[in-house]
Amino acid sequence: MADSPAFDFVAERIERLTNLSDTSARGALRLALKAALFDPRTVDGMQMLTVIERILPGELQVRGVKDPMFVCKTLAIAVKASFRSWSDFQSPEFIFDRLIRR
Amino acid sequence: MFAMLGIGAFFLVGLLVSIRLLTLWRRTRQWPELAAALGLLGIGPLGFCVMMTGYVLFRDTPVMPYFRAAGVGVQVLGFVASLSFTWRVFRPKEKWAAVLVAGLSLALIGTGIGMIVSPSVPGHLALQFHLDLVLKILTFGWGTYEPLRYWWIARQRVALGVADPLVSASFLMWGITSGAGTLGFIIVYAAIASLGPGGHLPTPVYLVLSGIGLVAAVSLYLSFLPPQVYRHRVEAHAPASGG
Repeated sequence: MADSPAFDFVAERIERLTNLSDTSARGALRLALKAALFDPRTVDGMQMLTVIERILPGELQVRGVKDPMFVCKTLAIAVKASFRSWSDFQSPEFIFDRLIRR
Repeated sequence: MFAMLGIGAFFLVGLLVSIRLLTLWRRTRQWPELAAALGLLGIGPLGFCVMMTGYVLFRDTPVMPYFRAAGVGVQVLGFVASLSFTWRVFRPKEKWAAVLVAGLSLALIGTGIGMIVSPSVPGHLALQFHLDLVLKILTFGWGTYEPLRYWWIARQRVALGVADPLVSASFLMWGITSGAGTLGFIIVYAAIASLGPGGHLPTPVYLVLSGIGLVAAVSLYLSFLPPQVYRHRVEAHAPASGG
């Protein structure tokens, strides 16, 4: 099973916004997702936002990325602007959140 | 009468939740809310009401078999919708899940037709009776396993501060609802299979089923219609995290 659109989207932007290579960017993102028990193949936009805000800054800092908070804020804005187009990739959390709250 | 209280409560909550989910579906047009609503309606209040209408108002008339057939049909559709909900929510990308849903759905429809054409009576249970209940137990069993598995992961994410405690609790409640359904069908199966010709289910069986119905009603209510008090309680008891 391929990585989710949310994963590919964010990994690509980490590479563009930082000095990390494609492999390092994907590795950092994979570790951040793993720390939050998310699967790169099924992670959706909402879950990705949480990881970007709470876990990714630490992973980027470990890799020597300058101003990881700014990078993550930029990533969060990009994800918020785009994740409606990934609506076919809805996690169980996303669906249950809608069923409960809307 | 008391013995039917729990089942009645479950049907009433099932109806309320279905109406809410259908209202949501009118706005979102998303499959999970429609599938959950159809599943709850078909398995619970609608299928049961159609069958009971035939039994109470048209008993021993030529019309009754049609009500029975309609009731069985609606229930089968409810189970198929329930399978579809579990698949689309918890395993949307897994091919084995798609195959499982297709296989179980076809088997449910086939046995449903068998039940309509050749109804079973206690003491002379036909193959389709056994198949029907085993398939329903499998459907509910899978519908129990998936949300509970997801709840187990989600509660760890809640502790890490990356998941919503109320959503996590809803997985648990939905798992309990489906688990109650699984247990209810196992008990019904065992009780009917042990009856002799012309036998009736004993009162203790109805009482146990009523208790299970009450548990299912409460957990279903908390799954999809969580009241404010419950929401605050769940959020207040969520493990503290760094974020």
